[in-house]
Amino acid sequence: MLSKVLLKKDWKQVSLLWILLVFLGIVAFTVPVWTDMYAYEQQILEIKQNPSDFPDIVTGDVNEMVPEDFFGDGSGYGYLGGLNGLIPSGGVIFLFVIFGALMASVLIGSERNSQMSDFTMSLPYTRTQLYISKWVLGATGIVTSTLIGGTLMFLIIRFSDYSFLMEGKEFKVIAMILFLMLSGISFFSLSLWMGSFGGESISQVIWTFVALIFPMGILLLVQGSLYAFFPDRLFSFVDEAFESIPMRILSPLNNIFNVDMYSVYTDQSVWNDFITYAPILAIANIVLTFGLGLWMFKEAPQENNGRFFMFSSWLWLIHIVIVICFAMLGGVLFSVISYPQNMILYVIGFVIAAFLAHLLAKRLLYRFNLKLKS
Amino acid sequence: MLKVEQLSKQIDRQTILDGIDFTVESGEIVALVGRNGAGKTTLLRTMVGIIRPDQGDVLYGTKSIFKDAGLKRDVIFVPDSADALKHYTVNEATDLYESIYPSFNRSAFRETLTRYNIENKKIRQLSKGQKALVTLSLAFAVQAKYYLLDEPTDGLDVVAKSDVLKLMIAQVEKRNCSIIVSSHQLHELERIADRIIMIESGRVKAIMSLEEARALSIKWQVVFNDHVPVELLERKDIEIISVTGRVVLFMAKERTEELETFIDSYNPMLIEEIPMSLEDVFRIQLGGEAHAV
Repeated sequence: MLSKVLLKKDWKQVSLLWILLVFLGIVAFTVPVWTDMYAYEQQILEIKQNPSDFPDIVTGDVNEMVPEDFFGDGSGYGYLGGLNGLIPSGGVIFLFVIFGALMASVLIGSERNSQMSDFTMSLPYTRTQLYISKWVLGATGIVTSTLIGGTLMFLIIRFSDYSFLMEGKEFKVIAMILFLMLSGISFFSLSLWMGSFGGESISQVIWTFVALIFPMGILLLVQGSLYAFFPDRLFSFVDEAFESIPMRILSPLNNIFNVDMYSVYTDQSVWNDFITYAPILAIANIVLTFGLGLWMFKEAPQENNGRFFMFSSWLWLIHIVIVICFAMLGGVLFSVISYPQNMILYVIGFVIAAFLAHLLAKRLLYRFNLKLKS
Repeated sequence: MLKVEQLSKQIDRQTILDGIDFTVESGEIVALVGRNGAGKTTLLRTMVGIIRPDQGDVLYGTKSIFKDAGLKRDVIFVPDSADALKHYTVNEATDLYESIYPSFNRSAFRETLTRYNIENKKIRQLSKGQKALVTLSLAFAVQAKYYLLDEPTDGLDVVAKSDVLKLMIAQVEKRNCSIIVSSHQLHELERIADRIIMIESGRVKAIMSLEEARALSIKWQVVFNDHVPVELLERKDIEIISVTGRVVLFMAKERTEELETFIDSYNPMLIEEIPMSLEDVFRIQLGGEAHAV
């Protein structure tokens, strides 16, 4: 199923980004750890020079204190920080979101922009093989980046003066590294799926951005709209949905936001919740986005390359969704001008935003299509 | 044998291909002619499986190109520009083709490169003629059974055009492959094509040999005794090419008795039939509404 030739062809297109991803992955995993350790050193030095300024920490002879003494307060966080501050999950996720979208847009979107897509489709390979090759190449970039960067990060902590922070928690750190890797693959997989129907690279990036925020965004808009009509009532379904399994499968960002990165290494119940759900739901997201992407890539009408949305028979649906979402956003923004929220202002905002969104959708879906195609 | 069966395709609710139906035998060079937007490129892209038709099928032997991607090892599509491989050097492109197509003949390709003195540069750095020669030579080195060429000589100088045509003829002579070539360079197609498929508004208007195409229409030079009759100039079924004094040169879509009787009724001094070029046939047959009967 996987063709070495296609991997070689796709490598030619994406090699620079792939190498850059691996390099930046190493940087994202390791540099913050060095920086944090340097900051710890500086703070310890300051405490040692001015022990009287830190009576809470320095209870005996400051010269006899070891690094561990500056962290241990029993809570797990410590005075200077903890393992949670040392693991640079935020930076790594940010890198994977950006590079996932970039690599996917080079692998599919920019091919569609040029004649490369026609060339590829005329080769003696099935569309399934073409898609799998692209997916494997992107996923291996994230895996390589994580394995090298994560291993280096682990070793740096392990052999530093602050290794005590990780003592007994090695498995948790490894699990977190693997979770970051799965999340990275799910970002890339989502973006590649967007390329299966976004007709060129810019469209693909826009669709990726929309897909990242859409699941939660639509719920927040519905909640905001309900508050405009019923300001005295409490709607908790958004909070429930935010933590729900379907929503965590639909949105990789949501899955990450549901992990309490501060307590995961210290609070056993948080850890149990994390290890039970987060990695499995990330895998579920990968399976879902890969499956949908493959199916849509196979079905996408190649003659619509260069268009914002390639399935032209479904443009009406996209048009309606754009208008409704922007209308609700307009309504919510207008309704919060007054307190409590005003229903009439909501309706005014809804109508104005719906009209503007209709114009935008017409331009984006129809005129913009033709412009790109030409 | 390549068989295109009732191929239809709509894009944006416009019919681009409408029941296209023809066959191509081994060793044939078939010219695909038609005005801009007639659907030639869409037809070629559909024939190689890039675009899926709404109806109809394309069979190579007995197998459908839409069901068996492996068939494409023997069907090579060469688009009108080498943009797809522009980031590749000539050697890299050779390696790529060799790894995709087991039948790729590296020495045949090298021979062409040496003959035309093409260096191992990035393909985008080559001249337009060199790009065309490289892409065609790569395609021909695959030694496939079918070649679909879209405007292979577009924008090339006279020497490069001649080289490209020689390459095509040599392949058919050597390997008995089939070539379907779309081009606006009708005087060149005339030199190489066995048959012509005329496409008009997504439909096959006519399939014929060059001789048949020439016989279909007429090109007459008529010298009248006095002046060129106004009734002739006003006829809608002919295209006047020139009027010089008593001499008129015109083409007619079809040779009809009525037209001959009409000319004879003026007792012209001379009626001379001028051989029709493919360009003349194209112009009178597919010239558009202004020339329609």
